[in-house]
Amino acid sequence: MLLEVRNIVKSFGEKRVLDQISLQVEGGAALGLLGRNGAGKTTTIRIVMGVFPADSGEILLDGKPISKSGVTFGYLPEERGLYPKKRIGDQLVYLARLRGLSRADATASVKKWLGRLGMSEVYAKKLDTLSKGNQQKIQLASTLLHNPDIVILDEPFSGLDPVNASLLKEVVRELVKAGKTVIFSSHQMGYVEEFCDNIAILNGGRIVLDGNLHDIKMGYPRDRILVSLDKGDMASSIREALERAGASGLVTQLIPREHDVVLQLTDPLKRGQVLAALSGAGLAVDRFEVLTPSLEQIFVEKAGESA
Amino acid sequence: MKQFGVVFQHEYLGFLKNKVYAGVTIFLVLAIAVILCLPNLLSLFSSGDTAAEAPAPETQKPVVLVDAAAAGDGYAAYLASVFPGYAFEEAQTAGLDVKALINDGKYEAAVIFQSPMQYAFYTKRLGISGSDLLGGLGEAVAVKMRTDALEGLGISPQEAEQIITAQPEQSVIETGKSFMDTYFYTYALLFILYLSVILYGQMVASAVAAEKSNRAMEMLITTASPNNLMFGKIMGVGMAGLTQVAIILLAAFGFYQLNASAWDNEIINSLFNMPVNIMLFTLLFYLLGFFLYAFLFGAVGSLVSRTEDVNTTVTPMMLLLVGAFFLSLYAMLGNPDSLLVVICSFIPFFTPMLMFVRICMTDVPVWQILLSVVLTVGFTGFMGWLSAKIYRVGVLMYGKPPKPGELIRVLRSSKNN
Repeated sequence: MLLEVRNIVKSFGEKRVLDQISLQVEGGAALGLLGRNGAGKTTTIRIVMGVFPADSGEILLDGKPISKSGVTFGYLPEERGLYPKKRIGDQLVYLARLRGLSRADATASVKKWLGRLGMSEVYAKKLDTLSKGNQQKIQLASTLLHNPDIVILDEPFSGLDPVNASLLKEVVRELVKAGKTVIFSSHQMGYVEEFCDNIAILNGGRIVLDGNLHDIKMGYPRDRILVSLDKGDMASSIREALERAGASGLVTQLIPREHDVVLQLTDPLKRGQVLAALSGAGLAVDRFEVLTPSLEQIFVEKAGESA
Repeated sequence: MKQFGVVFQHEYLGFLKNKVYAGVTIFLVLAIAVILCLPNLLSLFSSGDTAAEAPAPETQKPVVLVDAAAAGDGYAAYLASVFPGYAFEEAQTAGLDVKALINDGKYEAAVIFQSPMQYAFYTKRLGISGSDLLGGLGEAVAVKMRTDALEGLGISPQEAEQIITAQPEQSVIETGKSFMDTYFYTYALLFILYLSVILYGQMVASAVAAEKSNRAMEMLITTASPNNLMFGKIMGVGMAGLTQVAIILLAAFGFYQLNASAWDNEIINSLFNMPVNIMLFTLLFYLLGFFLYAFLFGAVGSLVSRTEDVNTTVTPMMLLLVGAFFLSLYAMLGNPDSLLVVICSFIPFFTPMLMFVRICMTDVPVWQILLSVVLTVGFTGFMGWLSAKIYRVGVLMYGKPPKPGELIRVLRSSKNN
């Protein structure tokens, strides 16, 4: 299943909130939708789900205009909230039935998901008796009850303890593996890097960067090498080894850091010669790797400048 | 349609399961049961204690001092025959302190004649209803004087009494609907209509605002269409209100039927002997009034972000409702046929109450009823459409409720809605 967003434009009053947004999400590969607060993520999501229409542009599913009846969404909004005074089982069954499940199917699905999330015993409890993290899990269950084709998770990890976070990670991985189309929006870049093959960074209503995360990282110059040795003064040992091998000309700069050293190469393709020089000098190399920017660094670089 | 059914069912059953709703309904039914069974209950208690019902002995009667020296003989006996509830004692009062005698409680009152047609009445204190003695005294004295005068002309006391007490027989026929027959049930139904529109309208507004303030709306709006959400909720609440009113009315009629023989109160009897067509009109106007206002309340509820803001924002609708109610009271007590009432009864906001009052209390031409119903149905449909538009936009707005101008601008700019 391929979800495409093409050239979406949306204004509220005078303010243009989305400007020519285009995205692609494929089933079985999660998209990380990133952006600072107010960048237009929620508006994009609402347009995709048909809460309100775009001023122009189109949303396509497998090449055809999307229709609400042909596809099911599971949406975990960033602003969480259900009915605090109602029994958890009752409100989950209600939400599942609103999405078209029969009463029996809805009840079965609610029981299944509560069990999956380790919360079977709360069926008859009121929502406001649960802790914030557990309320969050209920909200997640409400998102997935009807086995949606497209799953949109907005900050799903906020408020979860590490045990619940790993439970949620497992669930998300299952969704991706099951071929669901997953859009994942978060400010916690670590999670995005963990799940998302593709990313799109929104800034001021425009897409400033999108594509395969691996390709994006590979697109950065690969001329910086991170080296760490098991002991000794790393910078001087490396400098000596390079001189001894006559390879000093390959490195323009040598930047000692707390636990490692970064070498700036003249030519990224000659990193093999550098490694050979180090091992030839008998140094015990712990790490030798091309330094790629983290998603966080990419995000700050792309979304940092004010819109 | 399926979604609408789910929302409707959820809201309706939510009400029926609500403890407050159930409690209020049961309380009202019990209260009605007690009130309507009252005559039978009272007779149950008093039947074992008939002594209390026996006439009070002679000595227990309040004693009235009469000084009729200036008026004629046998006055005390005459007054005793006119006022069997009192004992009369004739005495000269020239040297007595009448005020002190009454204040000490020796006498209930005193009547002191200066001449056959002039007397002073002494009593400790007149209550708000006066004294039954004083009320009848003037007539009694006049009758006595006329009888004496006729006797003086040689007419026998019996003939004289016949002449004096002769009363024409009159019967009154109201050619329209009788005020007394219609007033009480009209008032009761009007009040039920008014109260339920206010109560359930408020509930619609609060329920919508609550879903916004607890952010369940974020989930709902991406799950179901706004129209299904809004109309399902309004219909659900409306049906819950109708259920409650129906239960209460059925209980009232049921308990009245059980106790009907014991009731000789005209008001109560007129309440429960209302014509069937009036009950059908009640249902019709209840539905019209409820939905017209519920749509408004729903739209307003969608504009506020916090349930605390609901009360201030519904004020304009409350004023409309109170206005309609007082206009209806004015129509009931004054002239239901006045031009103001007739014109206002065609204004949809007032029709449910005002046209209802007119139908109950006067003979309204059929075309007027039809016209007002068609106008109100049409206007209610329009309000439903407008409210759905406002709701769509409103549920995603947070912060301060928008001003009317702002709202119109947003509605205009939102396409495809």
